[in-house]
Amino acid sequence: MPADNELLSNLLMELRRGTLILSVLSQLGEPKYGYSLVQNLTQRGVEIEPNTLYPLLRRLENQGLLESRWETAGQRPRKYYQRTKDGTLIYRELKSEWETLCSGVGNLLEEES
Amino acid sequence: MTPDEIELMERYIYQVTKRLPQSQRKEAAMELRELISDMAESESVEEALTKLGAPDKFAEQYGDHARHLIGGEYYDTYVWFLKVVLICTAASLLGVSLIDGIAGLVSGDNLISLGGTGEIILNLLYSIGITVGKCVIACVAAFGAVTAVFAILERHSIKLDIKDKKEWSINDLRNGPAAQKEEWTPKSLTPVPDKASLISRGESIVGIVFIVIFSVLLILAPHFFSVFFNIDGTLITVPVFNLERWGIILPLLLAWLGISLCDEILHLALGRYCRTVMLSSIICGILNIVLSFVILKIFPIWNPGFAEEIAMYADIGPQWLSQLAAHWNGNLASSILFLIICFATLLEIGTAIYKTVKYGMDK
Repeated sequence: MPADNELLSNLLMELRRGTLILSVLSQLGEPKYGYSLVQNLTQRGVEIEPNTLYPLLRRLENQGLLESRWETAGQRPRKYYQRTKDGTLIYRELKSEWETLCSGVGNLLEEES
Repeated sequence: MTPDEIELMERYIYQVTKRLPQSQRKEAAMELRELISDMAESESVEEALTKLGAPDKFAEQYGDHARHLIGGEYYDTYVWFLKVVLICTAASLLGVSLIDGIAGLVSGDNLISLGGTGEIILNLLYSIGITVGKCVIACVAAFGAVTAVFAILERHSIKLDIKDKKEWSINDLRNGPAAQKEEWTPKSLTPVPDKASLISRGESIVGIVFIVIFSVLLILAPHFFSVFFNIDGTLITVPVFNLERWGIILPLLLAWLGISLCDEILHLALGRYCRTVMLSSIICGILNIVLSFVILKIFPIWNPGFAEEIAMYADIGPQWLSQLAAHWNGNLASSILFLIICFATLLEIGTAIYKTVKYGMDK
């Protein structure tokens, strides 16, 4: 049923939303530019669309978790993003929360199957 | 990239950025140029753009600005408010039509031209049609006006929220997330706002109903504001307002009522006396005093021939007519009305300031 497909894709989107923030923060200990981040995440099995990534980066920057600078020395201007000190603190908190969540949900799903 | 490919990329960027808010466009264009150029290193620009998808879909995701007119915070108040305004508008309009219809029948205008029952029914249907049409137009206008005010309120508060967020990120994050993890204790509960600082719906509804009914009457039935009397079974009306210049007076009157309505909406949406309500009361109050001065003292609001018209009937009409004709003074009426309006407005501003200073300064 098409309605169910839409429901499923909405639920998937909700499920992924929080994990994408964690994934993006995890990769930005070192400065990276947009497309390298897309490739990086995709290679490790976390699919992210550019039109999801860029607004997310901007939001995290507004919240003070990331900082960005335009690098104009190279072949073409590139915007590099990196975690701020606050971003790193938040990332560590999120990471430990994720590990707790993973084992918890893992237990639940194991019992069910 | 070939010139053709660059052209294709720029077209795509244009299609996306034109759908974004002005403030994001330049940055977004640079980001997209970087992204597409990077993607085009391992594939053609066409393939890259196909991957990104239709520009409108892309832009929809890309722009993270608000995509609603009225959000959850105001929605319930908005719906309630809309109901009150629409019911008032429709009811007062139906009332006007009914009275007009009855007045027409009583004065016999319609009966003379009416032939048989068929024609009466036809005439009745025609009147009902006109009334329904007017009702729909008036309700759509009322809907638009209320929605516009709430949308402005919503946008305004979104801006406030963003400002708050920035302040939060600078002040709190500097000390690290640990600073935010302050334990909640029941002691940290802030006191319930004093009952006297709350603005009740009942308080606002009187104002709203009055404003809406008065607006509908002024727009559709300015001739209701007349002196009515009966001479030999004929209903005579002498309008109080200057209906010949109504075209320039009405917009000012509506502006006056509109300002009051905005103030009422704000009172209701915020629900308690606070700085914003106080400021709104002061600004709207001052505007209203200025406007009413313009309307009453500068514009020719009163029917210039009122006294003479009344005097014409004074001999054959009821006794009070001659008294009215003798004592009617447009300037004096303006001055008295203006003083009353000033007094009421200042009283309202005073109440708002008093209640805000006493109960509502914490927010």
